[in-house]
Amino acid sequence: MIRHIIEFSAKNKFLILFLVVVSMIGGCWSAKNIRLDALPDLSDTQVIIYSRWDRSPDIMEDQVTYPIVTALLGTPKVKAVRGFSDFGYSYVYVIFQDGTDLYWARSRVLEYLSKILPKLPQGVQTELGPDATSVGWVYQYALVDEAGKNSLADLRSLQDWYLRYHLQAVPGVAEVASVGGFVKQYQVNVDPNRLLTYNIPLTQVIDAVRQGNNDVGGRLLEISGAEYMVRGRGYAKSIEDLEEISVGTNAKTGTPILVKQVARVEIGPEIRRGVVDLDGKGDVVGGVVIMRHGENALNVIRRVKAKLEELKPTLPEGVQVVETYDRSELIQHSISTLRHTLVEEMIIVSLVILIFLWHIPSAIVPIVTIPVSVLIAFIPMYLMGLTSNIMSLAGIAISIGILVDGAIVEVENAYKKLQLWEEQGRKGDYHEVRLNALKEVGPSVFFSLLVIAVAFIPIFTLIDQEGRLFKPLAYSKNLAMAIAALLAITLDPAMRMLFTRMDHFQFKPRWLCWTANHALVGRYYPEEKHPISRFLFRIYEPAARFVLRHRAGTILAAVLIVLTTIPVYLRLGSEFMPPLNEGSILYMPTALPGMSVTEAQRILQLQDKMLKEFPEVERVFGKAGRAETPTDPAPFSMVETTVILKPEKEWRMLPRSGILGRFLPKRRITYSELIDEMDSTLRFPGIPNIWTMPIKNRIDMLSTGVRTPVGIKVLGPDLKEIQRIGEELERIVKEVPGTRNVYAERVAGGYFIDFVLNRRQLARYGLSVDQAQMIIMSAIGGENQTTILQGRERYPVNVRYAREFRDNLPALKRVLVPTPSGAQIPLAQLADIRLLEGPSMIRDENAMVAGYVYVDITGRDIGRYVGEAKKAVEQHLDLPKGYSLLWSGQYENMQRVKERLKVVLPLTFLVIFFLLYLNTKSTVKTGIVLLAVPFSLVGAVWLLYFLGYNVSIAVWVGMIALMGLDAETGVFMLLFLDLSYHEAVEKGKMRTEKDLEEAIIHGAVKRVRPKMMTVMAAFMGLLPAMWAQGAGADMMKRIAAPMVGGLATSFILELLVYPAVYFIWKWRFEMKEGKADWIAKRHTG
Amino acid sequence: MIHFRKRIVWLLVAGTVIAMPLLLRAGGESGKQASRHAHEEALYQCSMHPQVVSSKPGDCPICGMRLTRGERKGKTLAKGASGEQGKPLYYRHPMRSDVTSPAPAKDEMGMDYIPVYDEAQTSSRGTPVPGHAEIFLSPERQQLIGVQTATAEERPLAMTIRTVGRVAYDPELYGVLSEYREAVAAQAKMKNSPLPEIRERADALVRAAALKLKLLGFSDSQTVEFVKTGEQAGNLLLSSEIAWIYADIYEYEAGAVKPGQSAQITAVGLPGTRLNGVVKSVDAVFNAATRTLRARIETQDPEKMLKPEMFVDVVIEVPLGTRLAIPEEALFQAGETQLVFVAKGEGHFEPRQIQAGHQAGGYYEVLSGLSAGEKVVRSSNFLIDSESRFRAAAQGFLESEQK
Repeated sequence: MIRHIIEFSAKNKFLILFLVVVSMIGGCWSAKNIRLDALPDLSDTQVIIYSRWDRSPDIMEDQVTYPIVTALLGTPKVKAVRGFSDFGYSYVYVIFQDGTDLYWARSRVLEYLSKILPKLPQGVQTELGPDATSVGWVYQYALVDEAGKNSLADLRSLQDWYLRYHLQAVPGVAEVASVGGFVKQYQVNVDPNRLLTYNIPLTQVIDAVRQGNNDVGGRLLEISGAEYMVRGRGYAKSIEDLEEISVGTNAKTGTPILVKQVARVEIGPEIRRGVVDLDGKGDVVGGVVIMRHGENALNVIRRVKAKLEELKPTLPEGVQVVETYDRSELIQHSISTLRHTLVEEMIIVSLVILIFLWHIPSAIVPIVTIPVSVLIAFIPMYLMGLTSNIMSLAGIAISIGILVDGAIVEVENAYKKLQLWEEQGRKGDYHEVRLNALKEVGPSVFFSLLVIAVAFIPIFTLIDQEGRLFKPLAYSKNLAMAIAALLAITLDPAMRMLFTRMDHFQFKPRWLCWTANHALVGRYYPEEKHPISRFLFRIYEPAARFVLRHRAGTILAAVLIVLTTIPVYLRLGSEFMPPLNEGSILYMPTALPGMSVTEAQRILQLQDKMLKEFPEVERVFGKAGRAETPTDPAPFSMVETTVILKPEKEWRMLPRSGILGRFLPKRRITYSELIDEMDSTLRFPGIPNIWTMPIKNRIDMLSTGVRTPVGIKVLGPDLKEIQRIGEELERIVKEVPGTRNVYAERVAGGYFIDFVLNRRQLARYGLSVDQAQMIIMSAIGGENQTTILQGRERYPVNVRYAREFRDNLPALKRVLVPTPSGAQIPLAQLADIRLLEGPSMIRDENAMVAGYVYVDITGRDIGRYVGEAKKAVEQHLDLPKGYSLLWSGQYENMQRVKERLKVVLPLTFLVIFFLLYLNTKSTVKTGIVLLAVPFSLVGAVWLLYFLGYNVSIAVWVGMIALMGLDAETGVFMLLFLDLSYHEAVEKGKMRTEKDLEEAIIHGAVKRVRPKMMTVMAAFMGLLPAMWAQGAGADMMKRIAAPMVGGLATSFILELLVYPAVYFIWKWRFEMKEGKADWIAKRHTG
Repeated sequence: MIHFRKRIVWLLVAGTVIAMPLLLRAGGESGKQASRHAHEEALYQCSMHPQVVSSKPGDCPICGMRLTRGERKGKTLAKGASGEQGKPLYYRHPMRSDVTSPAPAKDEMGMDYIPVYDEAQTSSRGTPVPGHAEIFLSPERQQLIGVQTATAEERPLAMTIRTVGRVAYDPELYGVLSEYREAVAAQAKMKNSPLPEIRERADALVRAAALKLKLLGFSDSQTVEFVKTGEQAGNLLLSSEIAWIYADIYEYEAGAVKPGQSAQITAVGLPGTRLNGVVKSVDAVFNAATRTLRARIETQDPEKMLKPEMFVDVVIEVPLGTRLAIPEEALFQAGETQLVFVAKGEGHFEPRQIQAGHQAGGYYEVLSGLSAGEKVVRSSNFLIDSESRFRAAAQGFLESEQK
């Protein structure tokens, strides 16, 4: 089959070339249009239901979150429904099974939500979150007015009513969130003393304001053949309009009482749940552009920027839009880092091939194969909807050197055969010779590529975040490999047939003739005369002879070297995701919950100012609290400051350390040194520092479930009881062997002022609970009663007590409740006022209040541990009725992965073994080939240790890729030993140890060039990944490091150990027993 | 021979290749050791969930945030406990943290270098407040968040009662007063009358008028005084140089208002004017309709700005006497617990539970828990409270680890 394809391609070379060119054009188009992002989207398919209502967490939970969660239970394909209730906000996360279409999921949620929406309390604003996650925060800006002509409220209005809508209309933008500044609000600040003297209840003022602002229509009127539209105009348009609203009349005199007589009407700020600061200069207004799920980040940002540029001239005088975060820089940076690496790799691999082949017409084939296969690989990637990101490009980057293996083997074989043909006096048609050479190795090329692909299967079994992170890599790598394999049997034969000439040109001028000869015909050297081979022989031959003489010692040394890796491996750390240096810093100091806006703002500004003083810092954009988007659940005590750094070449120079330091040129401060310095400067008590990076942080904050290996969820109706059970569990589980850490969640952090209404007192004054609460709500809290329309802008009107009548406890006591008798009674006489500490956030899981107990374990099999812990809990815990325990945590995931790997890993190994067996037709040989795996681990582990890399899935991916490579190089190594051995046997020269040694030396040394070439191509091809700098390089390094180290050691050890092992095997088990002749006979026969 | 030499070269090369990473590694090792040593000195804590403490770096199991590093202060205490507490480690330039000096020095502008203390020298003495621990903050860090302290002092405190009132327009009272005055005058005239009935009658008239006054809120002494001074009650009808204010006092505050207390009167109609007055009397009977008690306040109004029936705002000051007090903002109300952070000098802050009484004029009365002269933190309490909780959780971890 494969041979037929090769033959067909060789014969129809122009058709093949035409097809390749067409595909390349397709590849170019795909590469240009493929979606770009820095990292693959790691988020679950999740829909957020976001409700706003200025109530405390427990009220939110009871009246909003719980009803919504219950309504959503039973939605199809749902994995979990989790609710969070915070002050003023309720978030319900509906997490769908992997692979569910987001829009399908959203319409299901809407469907189920519709039955509950009418039942929610009045005033609750519920909406579906955007079709995006917080990872989609791709662009942020701040509005500043240094001229001081616009107030913060003006800027916020500009953002809310102008910029936001324009930007939201840009294709690909899911939402534009505003943050910081002041939302303008018309405030009717009521003076209770005035109310008292006029004897007007507060409710009357509220009603008056609510009824004093409307426009109506009176349908149509026909007058003399024309129709007139009837309008009743009554919109309050200004402070004056509001002030003129009549509250009532004096019963005795009939004098009207107007709003302005009982209240001050002002424009003030709406309640603030987020503040932002730019460069420590104080409050500004910020905007966050959130990209739609699955969009091309780069294009979206580009469009947003263009739109902003367009809008700039229309902004009021003095207003500037300052860019505070721009992900496109990172994307371009990382993509260009990777692109740069790819190009470097291609050049290096090409050079390696050129040098080792020393024959331009042959070298041109693999050299062309690389870019062609990479380019064409983009077509299936585009069609499969994969994005072009650090991971998928890294997948290609680690396979550049391997892509050409097929081509190299084919070309090398053809070269060898042609050289033989020339040597033997040019018998027969050289086209035939060439074609046969290609056909000879074609199938094994295919096999080797198959092995590499099979080795990658375990990566496809990864699920959740790991899966989403590494599958693109596996896809792109395998796609590139597959394309390369395909090209190896189509394009390569066709190309090889293009350069058909065997005779040298003879024409003048001579220099042109010389160049043409070298470029198009080349010279065929026999192995011994080949310039590269001669050099390699000089080094390798003595070494090979040495090991053959000290066989046992060599093997023992190899075993020892392999053993050294064990302690080294155990010292390696581990991490989930290798760092991606995003080039900017996210400074996230976080205090305990309960911080007030003023304090948060003060600290934020101080911190930003200090950060800005660093000479490396370009811009500091601080945010405390939340932006107005469902994708931001941050409380005030969590500061998120984006620090944009200047280009690295402007960073400070530092003298080098050490004795020689003074003589060496100064170096630039490094990223981590900079962070260390910042960390030691900004040591604010009570609000510990966290340094992370914008995207990394968003990804970290995405998942909402239990993150420890084991978690016990206590579900039930009452939070206090849940906490008690949790604490008891903490005690019990601590005793189970293997427990490293147990921690039961505790409720705290929220400070409350409770008005506990005294029913007897209420009865005495003839009041209902509702009437009293109405006053608590409107006098202290202040409800938005109506909306003022100003052009396109809409501002709420809020009626409440003026600040000085509600900002301390004595004042709160004197909040007056109107009674039916007309008297107004202070709250102090109706209720007990208590200060309490309570939950600042309530968690709801599948409609039960949930408390988590987090368990971290060490050194035990997780399944058995859970079994034992369950038993212990069963014995010792008396669970009250109505409460239940749910065991969950990462262990579910780990177990699932483990279960899968239990099947997949042996299967993979088996398939590789089987493929190798097919190739070698001998278990011993397959075993020898697989020796390469431990050999490669030596280099992989040592290099990781030396570079200080932690073990992460990225490293494992590199290891897995390495195994595929090992199998390939091992096969190659053994192949030549075998060939040489059989050749000797056939010639009857295999009688003594000396014969065997010579045969092995011949096989090992004389064919060191092609072996060296494939390995060098792969090895050198990875080096640019190792020295790459800049965004995205770290991730690639983690994958490449084990491959680089492993290839080096496995190659050296294979070169040195295989001859020894082969010798022992052949001598002990075949030649001594006289099998050699028999085998030889079988082969010849 | 040649072979032999080659072999030596080969061995040398091989040896170097093998030894190279080891050599290079050795260089790196010391660095790693140092950081490992640092690890042992460090504790990792979640900044949102202080109870999550670990001896290794990692992520918080609850929120997934990176654990922040803190010193394992308890351990190094042993070293610093030899009475050397408070001795600075080094001194640093006031403007630049990277310029340091082992001894006190002055910078180019003549400013003193700032001493930097070893933060590990914290005493880990337990404090009675659950979930809080004593903390140490170097002067630098205090400056960062702007820690200010205030002294708990005995000071005269006055509670204020804010309420509303009217400038008295009270023809009824005027009538009764006139009546009473007449009655007293008549009584005086009739004193020498031989007819006991007439004397009796005059006395009865006076008693009746006095009772009416009493019902209107006049106390006996007031009544007597009123007659003694011979004051005209014209101000009950028209503006006069002495204005009477009727202030309404709610039941829950009624007990505190006593004659003789001073009051301030402001009116919407008279912006910027503040008149001082004195509580003259408190009615004996509650007003059933408004559920308030009326206090009469007398104020001097030489310009006759106050017109009868005018609405005024009244602030009555209720003196509490001299009490131990702290500024309002020094009290941190963590739910039911009332906390203050006592500055014990040299950067040590102790959380202490106190019992606070009345809030009066920007001060809290301290009932127990503090003694006069102690210094308490009056700004950045939230952050200090936060730090103190982090510390407490870390200490709990250390204790359980030592077990």
